[in-house]
Amino acid sequence: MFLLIMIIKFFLDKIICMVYYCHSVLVNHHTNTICLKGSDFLAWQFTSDRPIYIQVSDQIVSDILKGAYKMGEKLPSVREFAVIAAVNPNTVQKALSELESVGLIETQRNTGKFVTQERSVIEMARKKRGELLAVEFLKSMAALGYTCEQTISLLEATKIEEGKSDERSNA
Amino acid sequence: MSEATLECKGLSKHFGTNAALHDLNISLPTGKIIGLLGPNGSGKTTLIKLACGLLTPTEGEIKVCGFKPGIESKALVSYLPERTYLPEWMTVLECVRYFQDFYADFDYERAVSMLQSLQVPANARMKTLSKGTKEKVQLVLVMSRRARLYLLDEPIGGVDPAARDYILGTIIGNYCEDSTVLISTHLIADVEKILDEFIFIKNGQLVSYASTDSLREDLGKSIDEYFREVFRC
Amino acid sequence: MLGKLIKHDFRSLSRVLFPTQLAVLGASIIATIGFAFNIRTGFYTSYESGGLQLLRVITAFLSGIMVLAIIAASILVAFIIFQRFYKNLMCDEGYLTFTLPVTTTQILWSKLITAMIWTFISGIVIFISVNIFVLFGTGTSGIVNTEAYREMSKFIGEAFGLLGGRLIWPILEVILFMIVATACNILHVYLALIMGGVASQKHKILAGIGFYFAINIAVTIVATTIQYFLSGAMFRTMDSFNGLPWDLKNSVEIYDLVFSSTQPYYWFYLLFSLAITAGFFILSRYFLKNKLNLE
Repeated sequence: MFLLIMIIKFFLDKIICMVYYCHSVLVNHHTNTICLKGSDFLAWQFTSDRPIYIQVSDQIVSDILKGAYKMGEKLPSVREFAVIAAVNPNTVQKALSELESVGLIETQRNTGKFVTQERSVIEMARKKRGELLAVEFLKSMAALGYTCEQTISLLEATKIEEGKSDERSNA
Repeated sequence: MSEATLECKGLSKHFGTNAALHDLNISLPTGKIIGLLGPNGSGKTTLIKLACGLLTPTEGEIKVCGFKPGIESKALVSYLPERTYLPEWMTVLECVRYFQDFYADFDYERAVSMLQSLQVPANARMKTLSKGTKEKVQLVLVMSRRARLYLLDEPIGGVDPAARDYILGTIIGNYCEDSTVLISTHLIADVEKILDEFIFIKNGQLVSYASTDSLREDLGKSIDEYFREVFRC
Repeated sequence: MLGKLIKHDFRSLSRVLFPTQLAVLGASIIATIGFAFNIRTGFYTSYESGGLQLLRVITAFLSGIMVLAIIAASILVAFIIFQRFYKNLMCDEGYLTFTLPVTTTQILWSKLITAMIWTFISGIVIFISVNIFVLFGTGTSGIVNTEAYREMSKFIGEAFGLLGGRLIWPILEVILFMIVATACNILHVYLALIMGGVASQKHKILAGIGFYFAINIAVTIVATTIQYFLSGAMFRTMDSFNGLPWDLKNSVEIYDLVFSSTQPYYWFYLLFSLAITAGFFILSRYFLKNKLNLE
């Protein structure tokens, strides 16, 4: 008798499990889990000499300047960024705080983080980034042996070449 | 939460004459992903086993969220061992039910949806799954618990790079401010980006405990480079 | 938590053992049919046709199947119980078992209880099988052989009529002793397996077998020393029987005398076994909790 009860209970349990599992499969739950697909990993590359949070904030600034995130657009959450960049959420939090402190990002308490609406802030960031690149470029060229004037004339020549090849490809 | 998730005071573990851990003093905060790094035989697994209650200390004390290893601490700790430890004869679904039965903090829907996205059949016996799939199932079960301390022993060793990305992504996605994740691994370069802090351990003793950022800011080195320096053969 | 442990342990044992019990019952049915066929149609006689003789041989063989099945099933039940214990606690599954939010005591109780339940089930199934055989297979006339049962119930009726309620006590005492003895034997093997696992990483089972005998010897030594001191008292009791007028007493008085004089020994032996069993349990817990290192 006892045995029979155990048997019935066992099979009943199994059936209930199966039903529940199938139900979840059919209803297609998307709870807190972020369903990862291969394409989500943009494989952000990091160098080893600088803190990761600085590199993350640089990458986000680049994305904003490139226009990937428009002015006033809502940014992905900290968690989503963490998964996309494959870094620690604390790191992302730090990076975003950095950007907030310079005013590129603002937090609206219950809705999330947004790119600033102030064009001047973005332009300032663009200018700073451009200046940094320029300084680095000139340093690299100097290390190769170019003087400032040679560097400028090389740039001019390259500009003309680029223009010509553009015409050719457009024609 | 100011209470440390894992606290060791003067912790030592001897196996006969061999001192696997010696006078370890450490305190892990919540809300961080921490790497436990060191060469083979440095005492990483011993420390993790002590935190799980699988070993008893020879000297000193170890506490998880203020509890000595025991029935309360085990309910708060989610442990992923290096080996496959789920019964071979159980099906995937039976394992899920097993966890759900014993652990109050187990999130059934989360586990099911993760298994579903991995396309693991519910009624497959563990015996029939490949090694990589078995490890993924174990990871899913461990990460579906809302534990205070996650102890992951070599979670990405022995799996292909795509699976590694998935595992790291799951760890990140599971992040919670109230919990600590302790990852013990050799594959430092892969794991470095998700670590807040790291612990270097050698011959059972603590060598360093610092944050990833401070290492980069102060020394301009990555953990991987620093490791090679400190543990040069 | 203990209930959940018991449920899961029982399920994992039943998975393998339940079919074996069905096999035993099946074998007993087959044996019954075979034996009944033989017994009804008279036994082997030389002038039967070859085909019939072959049939007899086959059915006689089938009768023997039941005995084989019972023996095999009993061995299998014991083997599986200890194998599951070993795999669940001393091998890789141990990482799962010992990180569950349960105490070591609960784990041991669960293992003990499920082992005893299955031993009991196995016993019941054997009892049923034998009864099926006796009832249906041995009747020379008609289908059912109630002769044996009639004799049995006559005897029991007589015994109860004579001794009345007094008969309850020895029955209960025997049952109690059987329960304690079963638990003792099970824990004996458990402890041996645990100590084997603690002592040697590579040869856990071999060391376990060694410890089984070691523990056996240790317990026997203790039991013998105690018995040595008690034997004096026992001889005195035996002596006291000599001068009694046996032929003048009726069966009730004889029964009372014998029963009451053996009581102290029974209880002492029972308590001793209980103490040993408890000792096994406590030692098992100690070694599991403090000395076991899974690799």
